[in-house]
Amino acid sequence: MARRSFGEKGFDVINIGLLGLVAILMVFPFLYIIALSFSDEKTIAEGGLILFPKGWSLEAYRYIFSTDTLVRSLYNSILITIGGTIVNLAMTSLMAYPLAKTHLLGRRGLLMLVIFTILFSGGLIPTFLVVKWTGLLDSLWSVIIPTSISAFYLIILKNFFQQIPEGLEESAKIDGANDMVILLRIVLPLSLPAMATFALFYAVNHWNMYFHAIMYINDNSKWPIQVLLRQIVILSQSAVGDSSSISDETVLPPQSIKMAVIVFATVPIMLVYPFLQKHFAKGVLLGSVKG
Amino acid sequence: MRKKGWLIGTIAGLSLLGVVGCSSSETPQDVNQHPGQGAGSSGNEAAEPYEISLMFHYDVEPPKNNSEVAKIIEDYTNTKLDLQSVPSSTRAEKFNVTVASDNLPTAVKAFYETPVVNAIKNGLFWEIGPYLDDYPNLSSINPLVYDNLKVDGKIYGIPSVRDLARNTIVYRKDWLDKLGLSEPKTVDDFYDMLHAFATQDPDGNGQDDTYGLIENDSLFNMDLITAYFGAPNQWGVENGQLVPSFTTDAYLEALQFYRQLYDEGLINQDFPITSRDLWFNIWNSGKAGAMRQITGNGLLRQQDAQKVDPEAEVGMVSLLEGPRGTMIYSERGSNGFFLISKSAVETEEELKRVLTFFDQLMDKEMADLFNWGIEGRTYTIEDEKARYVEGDAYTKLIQPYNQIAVGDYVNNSTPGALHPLHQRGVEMNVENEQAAVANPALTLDSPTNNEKGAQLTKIIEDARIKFILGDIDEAGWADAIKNWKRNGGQDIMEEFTAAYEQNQS
Amino acid sequence: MQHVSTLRRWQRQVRRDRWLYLMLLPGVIYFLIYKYLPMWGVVISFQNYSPGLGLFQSEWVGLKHFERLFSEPTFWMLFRNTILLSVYQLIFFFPIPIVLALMLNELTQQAFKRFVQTVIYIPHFVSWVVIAGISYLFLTPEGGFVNELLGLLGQDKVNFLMSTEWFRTLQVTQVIWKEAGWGTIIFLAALAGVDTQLYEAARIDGANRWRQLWHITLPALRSTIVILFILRMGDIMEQGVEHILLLLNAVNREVGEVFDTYVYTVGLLQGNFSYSAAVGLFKSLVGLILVVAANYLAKKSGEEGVF
Repeated sequence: MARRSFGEKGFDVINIGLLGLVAILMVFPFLYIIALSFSDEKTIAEGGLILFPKGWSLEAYRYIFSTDTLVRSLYNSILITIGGTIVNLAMTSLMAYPLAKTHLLGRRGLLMLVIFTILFSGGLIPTFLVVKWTGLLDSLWSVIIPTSISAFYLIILKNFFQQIPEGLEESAKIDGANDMVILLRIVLPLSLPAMATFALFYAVNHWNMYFHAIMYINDNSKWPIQVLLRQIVILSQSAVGDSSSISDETVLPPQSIKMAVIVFATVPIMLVYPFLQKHFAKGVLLGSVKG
Repeated sequence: MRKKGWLIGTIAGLSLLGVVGCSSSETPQDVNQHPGQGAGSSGNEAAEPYEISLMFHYDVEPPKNNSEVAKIIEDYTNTKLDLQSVPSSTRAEKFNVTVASDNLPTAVKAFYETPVVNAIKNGLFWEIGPYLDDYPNLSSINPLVYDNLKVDGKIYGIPSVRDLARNTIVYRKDWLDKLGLSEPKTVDDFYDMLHAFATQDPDGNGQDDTYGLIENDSLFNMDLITAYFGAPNQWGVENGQLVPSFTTDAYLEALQFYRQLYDEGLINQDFPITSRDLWFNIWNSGKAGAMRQITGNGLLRQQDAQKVDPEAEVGMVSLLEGPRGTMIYSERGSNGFFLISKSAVETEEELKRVLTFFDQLMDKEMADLFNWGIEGRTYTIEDEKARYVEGDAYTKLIQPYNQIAVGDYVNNSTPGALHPLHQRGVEMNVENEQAAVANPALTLDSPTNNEKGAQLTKIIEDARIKFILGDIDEAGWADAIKNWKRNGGQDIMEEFTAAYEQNQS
Repeated sequence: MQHVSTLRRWQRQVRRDRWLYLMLLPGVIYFLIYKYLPMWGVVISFQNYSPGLGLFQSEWVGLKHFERLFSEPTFWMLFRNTILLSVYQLIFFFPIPIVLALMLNELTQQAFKRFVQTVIYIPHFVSWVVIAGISYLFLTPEGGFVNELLGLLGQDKVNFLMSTEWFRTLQVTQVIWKEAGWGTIIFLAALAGVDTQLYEAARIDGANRWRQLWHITLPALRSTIVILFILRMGDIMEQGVEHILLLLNAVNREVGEVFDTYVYTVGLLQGNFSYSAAVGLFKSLVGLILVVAANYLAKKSGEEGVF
């Protein structure tokens, strides 16, 4: 490591201090949620901000595992997320690669076609009719296929592909490889940071999706966990959702159960990130392929 | 090494996807099959189970197909049920999509709202009025309840009946006793009670931290208070004209009363940002003296309050004498209704089979299932009276299916050994009904209201809160009413009046 | 004969790029079926659409719904609130993920970097309902922490959640808290593509950290920033409905009501499909104009743009 000036050290100290502060600010609400989920109802009723469980209780988690509803929906979520992300990555990179080639005839028109869909959409009912027409209703595919490509991510991935040095592809081309082979053998391995990023984005989108599942899937044994989570969380809000149908008889689930369901439904997707994290390491791959 | 891992990951993923594929192909694509056989008389023992799909909403736990409870219903009614549940927070969108795509199940649970009424008017559902006489249970439902659900004067819905006037003020009886007061009889007594709750330290902790009345962001108590001051139930009839309740003097007096409660700190000062959730939290924390509830929930509120303060006791009072006498608002008398779709139920013969199913749902056996559950598991019978088993057995096992029940399943079922508070609630509902005032516009149609009602209501809702907070005065309130009228309210009044006259003649 | 040779050149190009076109095919089919096919749905903005009747039987009303929107007394209020919130976000939110990503990139201690990265994504997974609940705990005048603190300092209580002045600050702060960490990912991914040899070369040339940041790191992010900015223009009329609804109340509605919450009231609660569609179409058109303008400006200043 090169010798560093006093100014640079000062910069490091401030930088670490600031980021540490940001990290604390961002982690504490989740601590609050976890603390509530392990607290008993009496403590919660007494109110206040709790960061460590008081009146320790596992009642809420016992409730979650008392029926198979939540566990099964977690399984559905995992299926949808893994399956959906694979479809997303395949479809998106397949389309982004040709669009990254500036010499491609009709490229600009296609890009416009794609961007137009970010701005204009047909709305809920026509989309539903198309999903019905393509025979996907009531299957898990209904929440995977109709969102196979995000136009937004497609554009950004295309941009990432464009930044890969042309030379590498050219030499492969001379060796007689076709574009498909170049994408699989050269471009994708070089773009692992980008692929990891979009895998994360797509996975999180799939994980958080609930609306499509409610609309397209009548059989609630196929619902992902977010459908159930959302209902439990929104039930107590008069501002959002259709409160007119929530009757006065409804017994709202206790806070601790609400929080436990949030933890149960959120921790699995949070665990994905550390696994992908190693692919974000700066410049490693580019160097390794070249060297 | 890295490449290999990537490859394995992909293969693993693809095989999982294969699992997705398999599980999806097992289910039939078309959930609305209409078997020709099985339709007709239900008395035919040998008949195949008739397939019925029901769409309805759930609140906390979704119901399951092929579950124990579903099987009991299927066996009793000789049907094969396909239960399509919808989270209650997304009910409206799901209804719209289902109607628009012609994906309707045999019957769908709905509420009296513009999109539903429009769908009925467009002829998507069977009119059931002419058939009711053939079904002893269905025809036993209070005609008033049917009346409150009519569209263009015709009956379409099979209602889940509930009491007409169930609202009440739930208050801390232990506090009242401690302060040496008696249950309020008039609005003035009510004020005195709230004042004492807020100022005389009823929880005895030496701190000024209690509220008389607690309120939330939807101004939940307001309907009771306007009734105490004699304002009509949403709409009133003056000289043959329909006028909205909030334009009356009585309504303004109620608002002024409420503003006084706020000014004197008898209600939680941040009520416009208090969600339902937070509202219950205040009650549960033992800081609240009173809140609006339905009579059936008195016991629940007592149990909640006892978690923090084991001494807590709850009282309920619905009828208070105000400057214009004693009154309370009546509601629709139902908690949604089932509509039978014409696309899934194509013939009159099939319609009769479906009506038989709903008629059977009202039998005592089914009513017992919905109200009490399964004997020995969720309730026991002592001295011919039913009693719930301790714990949450009923909530877990039966509650998810409650929305299927039609008719007055509480009264159709075995009488229960009720908790005194529960018993009191039942009696109060009967008393309330004597003093109940109906909303004359309940089933009236107004195109302007259908188009702009919700946004116009916001004008008044916001103005009410601002008035109570003191952000606007009487002149500001009058401006809000003017604003409401100018932006379409006047048209709504005229359209309602015309519809009302037509109904009268 | 000019066009014949052009045609021939095109043919040659297509033949050369046949693999590329083949690769495009699944994506194009996807967009046509699931994005373009439903777009005939916009015709309902010119109808009095009723779900029961369907598209063909519903009554045609021309521009009636657009006339209603523009003559709505609250139209300009909605327009102003919507644009202002978006502009505030562009100014105060948009740069933050970039700055955070640059700060993270400068960290040399890998373990600390991993920790911070993992932690700052967490708020993205916390739903607005929960955030609203926590904000209430902090900000309510009835015993909220911030107000208790103000009280201790001898200040007056501030009713943040029921004030017209604080609404936008609150909204933007909540967005920053929830999404800033998540927003760094895309920039970190862009930075991962930077060739480390560039930094080595710069160091040999004696460039300090600031110069490296300015001359290597930032340029590497530039095209991503430009693209995100242009695309952000497209949803300048969009606000998170749920987020705003949770912040709205009787007192702050005059600054907080935006097109999306308005549509929520008139569209969902009233079942006015045609009117909602018309408002949606209007919003899309505004977005389209802004995207085209931003793209044009980007190209003028030598950037690639998005199309």
